[in-house]
Amino acid sequence: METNELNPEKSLQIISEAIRKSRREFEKNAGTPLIIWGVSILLLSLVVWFVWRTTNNPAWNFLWFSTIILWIVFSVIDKKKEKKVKTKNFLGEIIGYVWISYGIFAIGLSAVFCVIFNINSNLEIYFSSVFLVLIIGILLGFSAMITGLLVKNKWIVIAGVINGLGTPLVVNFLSGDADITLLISIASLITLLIPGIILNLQSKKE
Amino acid sequence: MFKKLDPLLHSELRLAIMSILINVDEADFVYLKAETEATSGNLSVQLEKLSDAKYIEIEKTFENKKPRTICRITETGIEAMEKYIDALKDYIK
Repeated sequence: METNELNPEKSLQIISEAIRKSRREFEKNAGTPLIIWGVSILLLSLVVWFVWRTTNNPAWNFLWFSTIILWIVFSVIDKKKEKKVKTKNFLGEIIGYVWISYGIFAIGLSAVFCVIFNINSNLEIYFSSVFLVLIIGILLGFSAMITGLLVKNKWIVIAGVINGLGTPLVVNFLSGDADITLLISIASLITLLIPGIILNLQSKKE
Repeated sequence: MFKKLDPLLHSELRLAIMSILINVDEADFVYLKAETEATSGNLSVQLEKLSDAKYIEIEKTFENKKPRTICRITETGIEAMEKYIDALKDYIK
């Protein structure tokens, strides 16, 4: 590219090409973090479900706090990768903030529920687990929907809506025992794993 | 009467640099070079010109003992691009 003088049409072409390239750069492997988190949450939920069911001890739910360790590990890997990244995109940053907010609320609420459950021993485990899964499910759907709108992907928007609105409907039919954990497995499939795969396939096609 | 186009932006390479930077938070020299397909020498000169006009800011750092140049658009640069696009619209109408 040279420093030649331009005509208005060529100027517009340069500007729109830069916008297109920036979007393509963002979409490259944008689905990978969703896939990694989707697989992690799916496996963790299956482990919690299995041990809770076989031992009949809801204390295994404390395993959920291992997501904090996962978060730290992924953040360290991400920081190392970030140094190699040649450009930073506003859109990527905003989506990152959406999911950081989700993570803080999901982990924070779980901690708050543990405290409430400890203080108020009369509280039914049913109430705690159902209510917590309900809130986390709705938040997950909400975050996925915002992500879908930002990346302009209707499938992720639909997945978010299905998860956000579907959770209260399904929770209604579940008891507060181990099976409720399977709802998180399904949610991680719908809102993280499948959208992540769709995003990566889409960027490869382009 | 057509609005005057900013001569600093009305050049292929400088406009490409500014168009890339207005879409991202920051971009390094290697990325800009690859995207604009300019030579290192030419790109350095044009970045200097944009930096002198306060349209961009240039940060020189080291990474693994290798120098790295990071560029960001400034508020002045964003305003200049907005004015440039406004003026362009007159020509296209």
